[in-house]
Order: sequence, then C-alpha cells, then structure tokens
Amino acid sequence: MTTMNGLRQGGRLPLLRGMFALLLLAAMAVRPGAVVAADASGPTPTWRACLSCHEDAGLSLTTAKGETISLAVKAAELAGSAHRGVECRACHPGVKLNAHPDGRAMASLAEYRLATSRTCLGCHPVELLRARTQHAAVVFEDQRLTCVGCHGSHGIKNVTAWKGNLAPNDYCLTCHSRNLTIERRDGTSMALAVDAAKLKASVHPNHACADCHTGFSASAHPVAGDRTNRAIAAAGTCARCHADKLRQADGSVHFTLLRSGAQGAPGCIDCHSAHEVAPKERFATLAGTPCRTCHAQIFAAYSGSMHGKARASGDHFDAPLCSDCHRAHDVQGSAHPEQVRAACIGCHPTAVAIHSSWLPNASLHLNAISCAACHAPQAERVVALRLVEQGTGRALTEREVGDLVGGDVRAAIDPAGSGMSGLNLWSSMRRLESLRQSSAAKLDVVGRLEVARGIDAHRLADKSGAVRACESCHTNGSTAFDQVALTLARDDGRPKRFGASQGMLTDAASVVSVHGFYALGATRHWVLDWLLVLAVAGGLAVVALHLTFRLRAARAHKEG
Amino acid sequence: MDVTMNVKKIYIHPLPVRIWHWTNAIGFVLLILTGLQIRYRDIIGLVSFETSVRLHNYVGFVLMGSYLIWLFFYLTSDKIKNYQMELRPRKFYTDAINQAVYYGYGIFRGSTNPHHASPYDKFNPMQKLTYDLIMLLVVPIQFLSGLLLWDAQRFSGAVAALGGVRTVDTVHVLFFIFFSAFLPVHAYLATLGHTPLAHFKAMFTGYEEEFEHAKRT
Repeated sequence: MTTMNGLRQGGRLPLLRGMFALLLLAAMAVRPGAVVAADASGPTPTWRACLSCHEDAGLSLTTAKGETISLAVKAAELAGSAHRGVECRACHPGVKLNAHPDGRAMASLAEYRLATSRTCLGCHPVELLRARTQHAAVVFEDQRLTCVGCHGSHGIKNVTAWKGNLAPNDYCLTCHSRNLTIERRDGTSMALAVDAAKLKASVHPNHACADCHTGFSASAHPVAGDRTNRAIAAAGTCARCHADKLRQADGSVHFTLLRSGAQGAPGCIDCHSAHEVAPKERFATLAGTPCRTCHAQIFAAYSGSMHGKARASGDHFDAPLCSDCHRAHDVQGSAHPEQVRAACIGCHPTAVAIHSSWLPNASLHLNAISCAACHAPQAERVVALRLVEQGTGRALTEREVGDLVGGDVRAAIDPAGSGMSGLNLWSSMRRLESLRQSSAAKLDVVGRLEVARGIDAHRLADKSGAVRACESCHTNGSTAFDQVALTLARDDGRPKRFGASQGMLTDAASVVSVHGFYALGATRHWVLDWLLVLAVAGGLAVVALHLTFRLRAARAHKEG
Repeated sequence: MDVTMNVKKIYIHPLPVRIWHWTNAIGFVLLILTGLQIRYRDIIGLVSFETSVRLHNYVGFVLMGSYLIWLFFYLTSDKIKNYQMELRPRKFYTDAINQAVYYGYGIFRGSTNPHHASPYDKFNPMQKLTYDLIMLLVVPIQFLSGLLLWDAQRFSGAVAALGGVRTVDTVHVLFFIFFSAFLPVHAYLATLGHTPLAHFKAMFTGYEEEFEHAKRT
C-alpha cells in the first residue's frame, strides 16, 4: 500500500489494474460522445475502468485539513443508481488516469462536496431545481447546501425509488435529518434539521410532520417567508391545538412586536422550540427558562437578586421566575407598571398590610412608587410621567402619540431641545387632546417613581436592604427626583423616556401639568417657602411695633 | 367725689368652649411644628419625618373631633349669637372702624375698649369677622385638605376632582402659612386685656373681668 500526493491506494495488483484502466480509457477516447451515455436506461460499463481502482474500499484521500475522504465506489450502488448511464467523467471532469486531483490541493471535505455538487448543476440547472418546490428554498448558486449532502455521490436514486415507500415522517426525515439550513428572505438563516430522537422525546412524539406543516407534502414545499411571517404562521399552527395560549399571547409585547414587523420578536417556537417541545414543567425551572436566550443580561441581574438566589438555592421553589412576574404568554414589559405591581402583590398579598403598619399613606406610596424603586436600593430612580386618559387611566403609547404628532415625539414635547418643562408638558397635553377625536377622553398626567433602567428592577434586594427612611425621598434635594421623564410604552413593552429639565417638578406650571405627582418636602415650591417667611415675619413685625407703642404709651402714662 | 372701679366677673367662656380652645391651641402649635418638620426636613431635624407625619395625623384628627364638639355646642346653644354677624352694614363698619382705631390708636392713649364682652356678645366686630371666617371657612378647608392628604389614595376621586395632590397640598400649605402667621398675632392680641394675662386667665376660669365705674360721695 503506497501513498502518493495524499492519495492512498489499496489492493494488491495496482499495476495490472492500471493497465486495464488505461486500455478502457483508450477505448473511450475513440468513442466521442460516450462521456455521458445517451441511454440512461441501463448501466454503461465504461465506468468500470475507474472502478478497477475505486472499488477498493480502502481508497481514500486526505484533505489539507487532515480529513479523510473515502474514494471507494461500490459497483452495486452505481448499478442501482439513477445515474447508472452516466460516465464517471461527466461528474468528475478532467480526471484522467495520469491526472488525478492532488489530494492535498483539496482544502476540506466541505470544499470537496461543494466542488462535486457544482458538477451536478451542469445537468440540473439551478433554474430547473428551483422550479421544484422541494428545492425552491434550499438551492443557491453558491451551493451552501450540497447536492451530495442529501442525494449522496454514487447511489443516487430517483425520489420514488429512494423514499416512495417510507412512512410519512420518515419521508420528511430523509432530508430533514440532515444539517440543512435555508436563508430566509430577510437574509437570516433557518435550520431545517430535525432530530428524530428529540422529536420523539418531545411532548409531540406521535404527531405527523404534516399535522403542523399543513402546507407541506411530497409534492408541496411552500417557500418560507421572512422570520416574522414564519413566526406568525407557526403561532397559527400551534393555535389549532392551543388556541387559549394564542389568545393570551396575542396581547403580549412579543406578538405586538411580531405584528409590527420586528424581526427579532419571538413567536411560539422561539420559546418552546419547533420540534423539541418540552413539557411545561421544564419551563418552571431556572435552566428551562427560555427568556434567558434573548434577555441574558436581565437574567443575570435576576440571578443575583434575592428571587434568583432563592430559586437557585433549591429551597424555594415558589421563588418567582421570569414568567411569574411577566407572565408566560401574555408577556408584558415594565412600561405597564400596574401589571408588574399586580405580580408583586400576587406573591406578596400582605405587602399592603405590612407597609400600612409603618408607612403613612401606604396605598398611595404603593401606587406612586414601583416596588423596585425601594427594593432595588442601588438603582437610579426616575419620576416617570405618563399621559393617561381621564376616567379609564389608560396610558398613551409612543406609537399613539407619534401618530398624533406626526412621528417625532421628542420634537413635539420639547421643541427647544433643552429638556421638557412643565409648560411644555401642559401645552403638549392640550395639543394631543385637540389632535384626538373630540369625543376622546381628556388627558391627564400621572407620575410614578421607578427605577431608571429596567435591568435594575431585577436586582431586588432582601427587604432588610430596601429603602425605608422617608427622608431619602421627602427631603428637598433628594436624588430620587433628579430625573424626570415623560414615559411612553414602546411596542416591545419597555418604557421610552423623554427627559425633562431639572426643576420640572417644582416650576410654576407643574401645579397644572404634574399635579398628580407630589412628594411632601421634596418637590415643594420656593414661592411658598418665601411666603411663609414673609407672613410670619410680617405678623411678628406688627406685634413688635404694637408692643413698642404700648410700652412707650405705658411709660408716658406713668411719667405723666 | 371719689370714683372707684368695681370689678364685675362675667361668665363668658363655658367649659366646652374652654376645653375646645386649649385643645385647639396646643393642637395648632403641634400641627405647625410638625408641619414645619414635614415640609422642611432638610432644615429642621427635631424628629424623624415618619414621626412628624404620624404626630401631625393624630393631632389633626383630635382637632377635627374638637371642631365637631365646638360646632355641636354652638349649634345646640343660644351662645351661637356670639358668632352672628352684625347685618346692618353701617353699624358693622362703624363698630369695626372704632375697634380698629382703638387697637391702632386709642389703646396707646388710654381710651377704653369700645366693645364690652357679654355672654352673648363676647367678640368685638373685628374678632367676629375673623373668627367667622376662620371657623366656618379656613378651618374646615384646612381639615378637609388635611384629611385628603392623610389618605390620598382612599380619597383619590376627591383629590383628582380638586386638581391633584399638589393642588390640595398647596391649599393646605397656604392655610398653614396663614395659621403660622396668625397664631403669634392671636396670642399677642390676647394680652390686650386690662392686664396682659387677663384674657388668658379668663380662658381658664371662664370669667372675664369687666370694670364698672362707681361714684361715691
């Protein structure tokens, strides 16, 4: 056995076989047109010249990457293949007995497969392949999906012979058990591979592929749309059995984003996976929380919180996971504070009573301050001002306000660009009211103290570390009120903040614009301070003056 | 002919009124002090914010109860005449001006007080106007605004209807300023009796001392 140029040859009589092959090739040379046999109905024996060597099971090639590629070809495979009438050189052009490819020139197995698959396109043009639905979405000029990857190299069979008698799921898996991917219209990549074992282990072990992939069959392979459309379509599929869940999810921030065309927004399968759907118990674990995939930083913050630590300790299975606060399907972000608050109160039903035992005006505090603003003591805080409809209390979203003002919300509320003032807010509110239908409810401003960054809301400390001192807020100059921002809910459920100028809470116009937010002592107006000084000083001055005259009169009366 | 001065004691302040008055006096001082502490925690540090709020609330409720006792007493007593305004404008203005002249001038000249207190007419015209306004307008507004601020969530509908917490608090603070300025003036005016402590004493005993001029030959 010798190795030359990376080509490993096996067998005992290489010289004799080489001579035989030379004779056959010579015969072929005097038969022009015999490279591709016109008659594909029966085997053409001319490839037997090549097989004289390549039938050797030990024949292999080593690529530059060190991968071993078997060069062995089984005659029986060729004889039973759809290409049995095709000469070797039709697919291996340029290969001659004395000019075999240099194995080391082949960079990798992938390149080798790519190179061989490109040859297929000579007889099977891309345009024709794309006309076939099965190939339409997976065939590219650059052949990232190689022909040989699915069809093999030599034992190529037509589809009927290949998988005509297979069970439906096995039929699909003949291709989809392979590492297939396609490029969506939006340029992102989508894996098409299905792990049959994992599918069997999922909660859908007995589903036929077509149960979910309703548009697909042996003769129909719809072309995939972009990611969003696919996610929505997939949700529709899930909803055939899980309609209740879709109803819940329909109002979620995720589906709002999906409908708005956001490409990163998740649908059902992004959390549950498409084929490896785990039982719901799996989602009630730290490891099985799907949110961490997209929200890794927030999940890390949560993991360091008292909730995350309690959960990780294994002693507190009731410690909340993401879905316990944000809900599993009707997922809401922090721009909807009432839902987050309800989540806190849901697990801590005695919170109101406990706060009432020491906190004056406890109900007001619990409404006007987010739980995290005190229980994440290291967080920066912001006074979030929201435009709400009088009566319903529904907060206007960024999209609503943007639509009303013609797009640029910031320019509308802060024309000077120096930070929104109380007057800006008041005039913006009046303008929005006039832009809304006359029958629409009047607007109001509701203020709430929150953590400035959403991630900090997940860094909840043990209650011993929570802010308890009233003075931390109820003191003039408290940092709690340094930041003030008009806050509108974005489509993704997070708050969009439009910063206000410092002093917004205490300027004269704030009495009408932010009358709903007031912290005793902290957001007081200086005019009232001076009025107090003047009034008391004035009263004392009158007393002092009168007393002086009285004493002088008494003295005069005594002397006189 | 000798002129002597007979002291006549007149029962002006019934017990419920005296209890109400001193409760009010202590209460208002406490409300002003705790109010200052609540509003100016960055300047004054006598007690914690929490304590001052708690004390302010307790005292506020005590004074509201005290006010109701006062109201009940006068509504069920003929002494309510003390608060009935002089409805004849000319007489009212004449009496009020006379009283103002006395306080601003006559008192320094040794003139006698034009108003003589009696059980059914214990206030001079200026006092009557002031106390009517205070007891029937200012105090109820202050109690009401304080009540709303005590539990702004419970009374959120009323608070919103009145313009929000900031507006209600601003009203509360404006009257707090009024009381802060009024209280020392009121205390000073109480020294304008025939002796500096005469009115204070009367507010403990119930009896005001009136001097009668008697001729003796």
